[in-house]
Amino acid sequence: MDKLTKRRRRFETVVNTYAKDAFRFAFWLCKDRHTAEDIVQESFTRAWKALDQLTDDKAAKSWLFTIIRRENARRFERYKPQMEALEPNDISATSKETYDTSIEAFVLRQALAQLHDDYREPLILQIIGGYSMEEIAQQLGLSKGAVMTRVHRARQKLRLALGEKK
Amino acid sequence: MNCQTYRQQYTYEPSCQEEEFLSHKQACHNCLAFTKDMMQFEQSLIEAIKVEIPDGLTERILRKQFKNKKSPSLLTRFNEWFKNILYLPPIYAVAASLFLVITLFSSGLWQTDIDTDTDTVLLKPEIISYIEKTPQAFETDSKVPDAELRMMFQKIGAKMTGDIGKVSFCKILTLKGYTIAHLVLSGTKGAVNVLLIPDSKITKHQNINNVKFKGIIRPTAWGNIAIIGNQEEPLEPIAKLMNDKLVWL
Repeated sequence: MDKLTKRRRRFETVVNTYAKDAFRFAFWLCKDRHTAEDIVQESFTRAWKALDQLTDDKAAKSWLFTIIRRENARRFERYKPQMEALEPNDISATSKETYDTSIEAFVLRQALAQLHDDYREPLILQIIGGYSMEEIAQQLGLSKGAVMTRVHRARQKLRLALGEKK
Repeated sequence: MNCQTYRQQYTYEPSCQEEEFLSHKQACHNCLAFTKDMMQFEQSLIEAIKVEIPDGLTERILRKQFKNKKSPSLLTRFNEWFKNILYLPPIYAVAASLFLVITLFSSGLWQTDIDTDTDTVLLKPEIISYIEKTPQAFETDSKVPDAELRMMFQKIGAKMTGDIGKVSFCKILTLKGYTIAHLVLSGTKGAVNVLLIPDSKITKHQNINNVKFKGIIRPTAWGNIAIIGNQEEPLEPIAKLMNDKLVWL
């Protein structure tokens, strides 16, 4: 097997394993399905180009999520006027067709979308990424204490939203 | 681990795998209701976060990465072939050499400027077609306000650092999925069209030849730039001017 074929197979494994989580992560960062797919596509393009920098396949998910976070930040900077004009798109409508359609899920999605990025991002890294506090702190460049506070407050806010609607 | 520590830990990190935490979770009767409630909430949260994945996402990702890969150059292909024939008996090597030489000459492949840049193949005709269909591309009468121009650059992630002369038209468009900023400047022989294509990665210098106009496409540090003007217009200085006066954020 030549070098290019090996590289392609390795990349295919990364894509097949992490594309779904990558999309969900991107979606909760930008709250728009089309933008999320653009971010994911662009992130995988960058991942393909930089694949040789990934020395440990076990770190692929963290590596990929870091690329996605940067890509999202880059897009936000570039297209700030348009992004500001965007309302969090109708999350319930895009999701309810195939996933949890309960009122509880609807309320939670709305509440998640309304959470400040500072709270939502560590929470989704924890839930989608499955990262520990230390790993999230490392990814976001925060202290472990700060991450603990943020995920705790994020959950508090979500529970509050759920409680109020119930 | 006491109940208070356990509950605190649970609110921070429900999926904590520490032995002490897991033991408390399984054994403590006082925390049973709390644990049940938290588990239910976490499950709701996990379900809420699962958004629908677009159909064919992974296929599209793979297709995008692999379709744009350049085919190996003629030189690379020759090198590969040459390595291979070293392991063949001499008679086969001679026959293969003759066959290759005849094939190359007869098919005109001896030229080395074969266009393998997929971006070029896709974008060049689109650019020509767009310019042909845009009436403002060859008019210099109006003037775009500076604020509008700044806004356009901001939208594509760039900023002007100096004067680029009068701009009579500016627009952001999409061609073949590429976001392009189109400006019309005043050149020495009339209107000059500048197309900034930050996401395109054409690696070779390209020329555009058309009955009505001529053009160049150049690779830059931030993407590609296309300049199109009248046949007599010197285009390279415009490309340099734009490169010098633009900063990409």
